[in-house]
Amino acid sequence: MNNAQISDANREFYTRKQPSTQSNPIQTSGKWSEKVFTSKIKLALASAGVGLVALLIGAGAAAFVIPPENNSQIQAIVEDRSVDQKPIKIASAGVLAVIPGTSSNTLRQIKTAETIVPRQAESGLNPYAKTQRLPARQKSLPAPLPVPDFQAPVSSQKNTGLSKLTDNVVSTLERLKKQENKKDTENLTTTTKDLREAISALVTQATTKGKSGAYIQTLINDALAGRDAVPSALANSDGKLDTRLLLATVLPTKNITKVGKPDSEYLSTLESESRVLSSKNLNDDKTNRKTKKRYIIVRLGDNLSKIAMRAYGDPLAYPKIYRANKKLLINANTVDIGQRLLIPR
Amino acid sequence: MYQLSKWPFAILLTILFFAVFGRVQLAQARQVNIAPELPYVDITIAGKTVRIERNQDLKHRLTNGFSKTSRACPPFCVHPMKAAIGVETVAEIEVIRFLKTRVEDKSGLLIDARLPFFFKNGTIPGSVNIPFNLFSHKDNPYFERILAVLGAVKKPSKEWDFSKAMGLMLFCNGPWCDQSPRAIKNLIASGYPANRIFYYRGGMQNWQALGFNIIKP
Repeated sequence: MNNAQISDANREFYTRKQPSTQSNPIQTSGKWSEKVFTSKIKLALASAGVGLVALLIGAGAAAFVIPPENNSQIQAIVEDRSVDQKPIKIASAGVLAVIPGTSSNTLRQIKTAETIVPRQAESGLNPYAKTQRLPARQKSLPAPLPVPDFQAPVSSQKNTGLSKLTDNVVSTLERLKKQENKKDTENLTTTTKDLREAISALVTQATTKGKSGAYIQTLINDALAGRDAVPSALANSDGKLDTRLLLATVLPTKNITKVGKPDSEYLSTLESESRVLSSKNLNDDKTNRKTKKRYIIVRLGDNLSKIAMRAYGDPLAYPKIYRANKKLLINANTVDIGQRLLIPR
Repeated sequence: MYQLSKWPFAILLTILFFAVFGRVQLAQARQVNIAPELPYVDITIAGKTVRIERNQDLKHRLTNGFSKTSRACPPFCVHPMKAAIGVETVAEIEVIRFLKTRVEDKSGLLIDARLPFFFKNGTIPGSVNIPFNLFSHKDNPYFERILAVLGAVKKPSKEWDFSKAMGLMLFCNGPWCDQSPRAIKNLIASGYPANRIFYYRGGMQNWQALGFNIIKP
């Protein structure tokens, strides 16, 4: 329907004579409520009727005004593939390895079957499965990109070194689970260290043998199958280990900024910039450009440990600030609003 | 009789009032949507659901360090649109879409490439922290293991096979931040395919300027 037609239709709609209301007894004369509601039954019926109308109007208004959440817009935005280059080939076990409730056996079956199904519509994995994409978008679809894949661990492949290391990971996990159940907090930290080392060793060994992270994940998750050994703090929703945990174990825990020997001057500017970014109010935290001395201005509700938190990220560093500002402060318990405290490096 | 008949009407009118106006008010409570008819996006990562939404306070302004306009350059210089040849630069909608379609099913990672002391002060929900210096392949014992976790495979010839590597989207503090471009350049130098790397240039600066929520890890 073009614009002219719409306006014609509108004109017809608005100029059309409204039906006569003369025949309606309610509006003929006097107080209609007195005339109509002479009996209790009639009253009850009328109340019910009005209630129904109220509900209908309410629902109608709600449907009209409230934006539906999982609507086509979300789908269109989420489904657009200009960034997303996921493959259509669902048979790739790398994806399935991390989908909740898919055991590795089914993965292998699917992998051997080499079924190729449209990802969204038939797999049922995507919450927005029934989306219909615009043809224009379909045209601009980039070439499918393979997802992390792996060679499924088969018993004929003898990776004795890897299986030993995997067993080590699993036993550490079991130890961790036991300690978690006993609420043995003292040993938990040492065991998490052990776990980190165990997984780290496994990843290193696997890397030298030409295996990827996805392979290691399946290796561990296969060994864990049916054991319920993953501590709840580490477990994914499906009770399996995921990429994030694996990643956490391969990243350094200490001196992370010194890895790769980055420019030390750049590092120190970054560090001072991070302090600026973390300060709640920019004007509270200033560094004198000439003397390069840093000052923090006391605001309402501040105490020395809060300022130490803001300055160094450590509330227990307050004696340092107290010592530097002894002339200003009567004691460590009182600071005055508006005081400019020197923050030593 | 007449007196009695007033009450049901009063009650019904009240119900009608709330049915219509109460719902209208509820709907009006969310005025700051991400896109038309896209109020928020819920993302489930590792069993936890995070909601990505924008600040609903129409008078809200940034007062933290990200309201700062001027930083010494070098090192905080304004970056061009492209971080490297072949690397696509993206904006917020693409970041959310990436989280929804690729991070959720673990075929991609949203990487906060800043040093940990930036990361701990707040980051985009769903991101992981891999500081930019960990992507340098010189003097870095962690690099190979990181590549392996990202899905790359080391061939016997000591070359890397990236055919199954994850999609990566990197960001840092914003258009003035050098950390994610450094990481991207190092990744590409190591052979990581450029078409699997995305650069969110806006970073934390634009993310917060638009009122998007951040999480403290």
